[in-house]
Amino acid sequence: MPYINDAILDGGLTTLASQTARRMDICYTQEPTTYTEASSTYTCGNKTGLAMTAISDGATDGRRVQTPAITDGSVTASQTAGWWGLSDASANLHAAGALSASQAVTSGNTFTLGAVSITLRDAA
Amino acid sequence: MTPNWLNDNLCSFDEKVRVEKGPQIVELECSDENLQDSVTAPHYKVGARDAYGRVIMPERVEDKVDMKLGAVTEGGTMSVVDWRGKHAPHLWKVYQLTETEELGKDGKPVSRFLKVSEFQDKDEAIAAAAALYGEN
Repeated sequence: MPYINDAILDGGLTTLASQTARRMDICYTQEPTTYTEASSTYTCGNKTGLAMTAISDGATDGRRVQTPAITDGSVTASQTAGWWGLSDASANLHAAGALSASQAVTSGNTFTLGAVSITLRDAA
Repeated sequence: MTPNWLNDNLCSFDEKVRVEKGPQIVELECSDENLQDSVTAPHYKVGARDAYGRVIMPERVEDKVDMKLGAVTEGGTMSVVDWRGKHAPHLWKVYQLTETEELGKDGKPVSRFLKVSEFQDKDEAIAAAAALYGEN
């Protein structure tokens, strides 16, 4: 499959693009598999009210949307954060992944997290 | 009580018990074959981490990597979230809001939804959740 039109890829990203009120959790113990795990079972910090970017070209190819960089997330438990989970106001887990490195965090502090890209790659 | 469906995959019983559909974590041999994107999600790759944080094949990574959560060498067993259900079906997971030993900023115990059981059948999961809620 040598070519997929950007409009097709964009269709898969419209759920996220330009949306506000997204929530990012940082998680411990394991990669979260559901909204409940990301936002309750394994969360050790969160940032709410995030506004996603519009759809743009991916860093390598394909198309992507991004979360804004977080500079003032709230750490809610003293744990070792290793994952992130992105969800919406309707309790859907949209995406999850591993942090580039695990990090010990302390309840009451703030956390920072660089922008996270959600990319649909071009067909190989 | 009538459960409140927050979306197609998540059902709440008065925010004391929840049922949510999600993928399983499966164990696979740590191999090049199983790290192909057609077998596991693209973020599982050499130098990245498995579902429990262990670095995958650190012996092949030249740069210093964070191995605080352990490592899985080639031929070992890695754990991956089977997001696409290629190896195991998605399950309906039952969670109960439970007071933990953690203390929050206010000094009071923190409550979290902890997984109690999981079912392949949605109705069985809802029945189990209703029973659990009724016990509260």
